[in-house]
Amino acid sequence: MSVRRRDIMLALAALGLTPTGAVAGDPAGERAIGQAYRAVRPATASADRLAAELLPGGWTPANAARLRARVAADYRAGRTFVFRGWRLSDTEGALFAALG
Amino acid sequence: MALIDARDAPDGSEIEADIVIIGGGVAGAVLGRELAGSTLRVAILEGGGRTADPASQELYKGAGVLTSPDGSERRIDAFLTDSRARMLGGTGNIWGGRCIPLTPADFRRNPWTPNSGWPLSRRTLDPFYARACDHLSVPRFAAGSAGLPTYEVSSDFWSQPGYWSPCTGNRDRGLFDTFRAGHAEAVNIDIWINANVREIVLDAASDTIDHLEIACLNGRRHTARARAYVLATGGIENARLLLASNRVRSEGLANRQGLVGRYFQGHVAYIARAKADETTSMLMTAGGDLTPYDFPTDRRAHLTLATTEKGRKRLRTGGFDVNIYRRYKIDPTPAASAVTDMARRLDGGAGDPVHHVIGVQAEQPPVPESRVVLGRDADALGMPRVELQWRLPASHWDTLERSVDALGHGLGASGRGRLCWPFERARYSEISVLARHHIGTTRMSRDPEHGVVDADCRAHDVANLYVAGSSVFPTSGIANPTLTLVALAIRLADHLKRDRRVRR
Repeated sequence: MSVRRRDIMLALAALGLTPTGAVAGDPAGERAIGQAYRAVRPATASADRLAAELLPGGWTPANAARLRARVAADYRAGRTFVFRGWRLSDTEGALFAALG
Repeated sequence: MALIDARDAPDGSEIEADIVIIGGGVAGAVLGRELAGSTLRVAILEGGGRTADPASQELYKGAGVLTSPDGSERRIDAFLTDSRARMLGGTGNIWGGRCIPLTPADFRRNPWTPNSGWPLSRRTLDPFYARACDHLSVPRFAAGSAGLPTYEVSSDFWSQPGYWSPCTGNRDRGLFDTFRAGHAEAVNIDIWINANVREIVLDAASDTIDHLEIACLNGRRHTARARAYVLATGGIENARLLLASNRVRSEGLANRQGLVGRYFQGHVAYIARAKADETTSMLMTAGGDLTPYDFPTDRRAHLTLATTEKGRKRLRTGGFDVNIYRRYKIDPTPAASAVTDMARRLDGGAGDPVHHVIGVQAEQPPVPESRVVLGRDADALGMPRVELQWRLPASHWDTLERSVDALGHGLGASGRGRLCWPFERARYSEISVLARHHIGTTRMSRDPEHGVVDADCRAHDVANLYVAGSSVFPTSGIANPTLTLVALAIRLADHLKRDRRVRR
């Protein structure tokens, strides 16, 4: 695992999400959403590169707020995709893809 | 003055009054209540009795087909009988009681909605809405969200207030009995039950109604004469009776433009609950406790998010609302759990997100091809049975989908939730629910070319004929129609009291 991938794991853990699905109790949902996001955005980078993109410069305390702002901007701009009816932002899709 | 059973009156009885109201449902009852104690003699003719009677209800049978925007057809014969009650109090006997006024935007003409626009404004109707609330025992609506808690999403949506009336046969039977029949105690009001108006007979020379022919299921026949007549038999039956009154004019009554029965609209709700699949639902991350939205008297949650006029303009849609229900349980799928976890962390709301089932409604734009016509079969009284050809135009689904997307995006952008709408068009029909609303078949217009009645609800073609009920709505909005039809009935009663042709 590269440093950047480790960064995003830490960031997501700070947000309450873990790649093992410890919060949800079942990682199947996260994995399925991540795969679906990759299917509709085939140019999506690898998990490590996603981590680098989502957390440029590594983890800082400001990153949670930045992610929230980015999600909101996605919704406002219509940068969204649909998974089994759920309207989700591209940033959320990327987060799930990074987890997967 | 009295409640009279037409079956017991001597055959050939002649009923005379200043005003005859055809139909003793909600609109007819409100007209009676408003006219009680006035100087006008009023006779209300109700086809049914005090209680449900299968033989009377059978008169409502007919054929119905609902055609979806994709051309798929669904037989809805049962809708004609299940969505109506032929008895004193009418469909008020089975009414859910939900009261919501139409919004100011509902009355305006939208360039992107053909055939939209009322000849009166919400401001004109406001005082009558207030009185309508009194009739239906609900609080008068204050401005905006009426002081009720709001759930802010975006400028495209607002928390639309609604109240639940106890004045229905489903709720407070005693209150409803007074509502539907109490005015018969006034000295100037007679209510005739089991008095089916089979034909409205026109005096061709004067373009006025000469008399009504009344038939009872026991074979007795009567007539009724008045200075003015109000047709108030519901959105389907109003058209049926006008079309069937074709002895003098082959096209029927008030139908020179061929508009009677056309522009039929209803309200179609879409909702799905399934254990193993995603549900039409909303994840609320900014407080999902619906208790604050409960109406104090019955604990029914009534949180409704509806599109604003600004939102409709931006999206080029008709009315849309989402009703958020507490009473259904959702078994979360793995995907729903993952979304919930992600949204909880990203939105940072206080407490756990709550996942609620939603039902959505999208306005059906009025199209002339959606219509009520006469069928070939006749009922037990010899009247042609009704045939409902209900067509949903493509713009109905466009409104639905654009609004659903806008709500989903608004929830995510505001950090107040996420939306799940898991169906494609091919499956809309299976999750659709038809409300008991019948709208538009005698639409209101300023000029005779575009409607059946004028802004006072008087028929353009027949000087002494008025129409009450949701059949006069040019457009349906998405609000339940009862409050609005009550407001219009009150306004009509005021008009009749002032009308020199009616006063003696």
